[in-house]
Amino acid sequence: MTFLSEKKIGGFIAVLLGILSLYEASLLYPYSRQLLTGDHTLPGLIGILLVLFGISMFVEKQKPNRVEFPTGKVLYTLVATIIILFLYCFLLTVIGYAISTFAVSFLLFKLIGKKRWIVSLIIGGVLTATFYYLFIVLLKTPFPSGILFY
Amino acid sequence: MYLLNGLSEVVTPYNLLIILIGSLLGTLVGVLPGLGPTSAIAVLLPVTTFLDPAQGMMMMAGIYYGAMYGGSTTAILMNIPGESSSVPATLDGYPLSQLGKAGTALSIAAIGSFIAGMIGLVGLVLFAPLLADQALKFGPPEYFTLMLIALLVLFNLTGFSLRKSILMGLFGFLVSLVGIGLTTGMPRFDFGFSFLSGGFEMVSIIIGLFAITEVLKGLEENRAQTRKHFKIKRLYPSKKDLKQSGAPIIRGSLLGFFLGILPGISATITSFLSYDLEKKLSKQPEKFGKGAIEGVAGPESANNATSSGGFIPLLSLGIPASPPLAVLLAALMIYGLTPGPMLFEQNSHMVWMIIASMFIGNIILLILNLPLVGLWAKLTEVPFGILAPIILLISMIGAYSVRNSMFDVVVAVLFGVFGYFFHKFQWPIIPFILCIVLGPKIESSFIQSMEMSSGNLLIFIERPISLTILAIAVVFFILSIFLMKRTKKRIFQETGEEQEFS
Repeated sequence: MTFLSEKKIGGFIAVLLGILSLYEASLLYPYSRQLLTGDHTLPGLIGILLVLFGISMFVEKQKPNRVEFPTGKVLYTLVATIIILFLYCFLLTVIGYAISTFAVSFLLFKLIGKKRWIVSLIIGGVLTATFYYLFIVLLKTPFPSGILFY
Repeated sequence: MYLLNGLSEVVTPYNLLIILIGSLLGTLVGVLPGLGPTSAIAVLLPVTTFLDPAQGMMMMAGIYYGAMYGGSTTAILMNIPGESSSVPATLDGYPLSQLGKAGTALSIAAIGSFIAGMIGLVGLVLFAPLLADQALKFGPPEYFTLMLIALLVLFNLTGFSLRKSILMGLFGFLVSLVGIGLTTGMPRFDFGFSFLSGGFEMVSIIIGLFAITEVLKGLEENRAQTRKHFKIKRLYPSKKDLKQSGAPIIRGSLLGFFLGILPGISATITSFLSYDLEKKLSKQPEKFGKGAIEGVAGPESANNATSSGGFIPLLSLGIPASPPLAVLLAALMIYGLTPGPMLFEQNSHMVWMIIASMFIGNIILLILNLPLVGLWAKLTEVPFGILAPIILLISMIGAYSVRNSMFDVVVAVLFGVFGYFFHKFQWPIIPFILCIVLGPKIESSFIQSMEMSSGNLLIFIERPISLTILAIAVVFFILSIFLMKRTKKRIFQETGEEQEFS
């Protein structure tokens, strides 16, 4: 898979973010006394610079920049890993630390480490227990308890 | 005197244990392929929060030094430079391993790093208080000028397009503005979402951009297979090796330290300069690239001396010279300390304790690293398939534990994905990180300057110190452009690819 105009996309996003920043500055301006001494000042300046540099990046003469993306199994592993990480954010709040961390570590060891089921289960369990001791017992981090126990 | 007081306070069994753990953790993480000092500090930062600020910073400094030491191991044994500053160590370190002298190369790198670290620390003790004393004369306009110029010089040094660097810096600045406004206390860029009104936690962004991105890159490169390294036959260097390395270590240390103090001269630049200097001074330059011990001694010393030198602007001015130091700056702020001239006035006791702990950390690293080189080398064999899930999980839990916020975990994953794309399309992340960390300080000094001058922008050139900073900055900027181009060319010559500087 190749991609040819990454600079155009970057420039376009910069212009969009710049406009967003200028819009936010315009909302904040009425709360300030002067043009250069309020919460709107930096958002305004950053907005202007983003728009200017974004446009200049957009119109810059493009050199072909071929970027190879992974395909096949590697792409599958990459995407599945990202999905598992987002899934962990969700599971942590719903079913709590212990089960979600155990499930996610098992999945990651199986996916990335390509370990056997039993090995992945054991390593996942050890890791969950170790982090439980470190973060919950030692550091007293209050993880969401979820609908099940910790 | 201050240093002796600091030393007397550090030498307690508990503090020594903390420094020892920090140094070991840092070396462990530095040795493991795929994690550099920046991600090591970011991932381990949440773990240190149960300590009091002084002990937390001692551990963080130990992690930083340890990771710098550990970085050369994979470069020498496996020809894998963890970061661009370790590239020169591969040029002769790996051929030495092929010649059966891996132990010699590793021990010379450790000795060189130790001497350079000590020289850097002596410099820190001598120069940091002096600079902090001078910086007390700085007002908000001087700080604003200094930070802006430091950023511009650093942007130029990423090794990629300056326009891309500036845009990335602006993106970082924009992210730093999210949250409660400085002057009105109104939420900015929250768009009605309560989770945005607290702003972004910089530690989770750093964890995402460095640790999670690094794993995603590893998955793509299919690092799942264990890479073999050369066996270490003889550990301690011979008298001849030591004699050959003595002068390069001293030269590398001095070059690395004095250039490292200057804004925008990174460890990558000094290590390449040191390598080229040694090659030029050598009576047998043809040996370089085929296993010259001087080619390991000089650059590794320069690398470590520059890293130590970076503590001077960090502690006395609050300006980080590199990404790991930016994370350390964030750590200092999390611990409630404000780096800058007032740090030496208000928290002198703690600062000197931290500096004293660095001396002890360096000694511990030398004592432990030489006999443990074999063990560290074994650790490079830990398969990526085991390492990657551990890094991902500790990153996720670490990101959560800073503010006990699930939003921060989502942010870490999102920035991990962004970091992967930034890497693919060569958009530098260093300006982004530096602007996130320095953004709030730049904003407050700009607003204060404008209030002082009733909105007159000329204040930045009307005040003598501010004007002097600007004049010096022009010289540094020109120098940095020249050095950046030179180093970029050298990296391309040696690795065949463009890399972001560290």
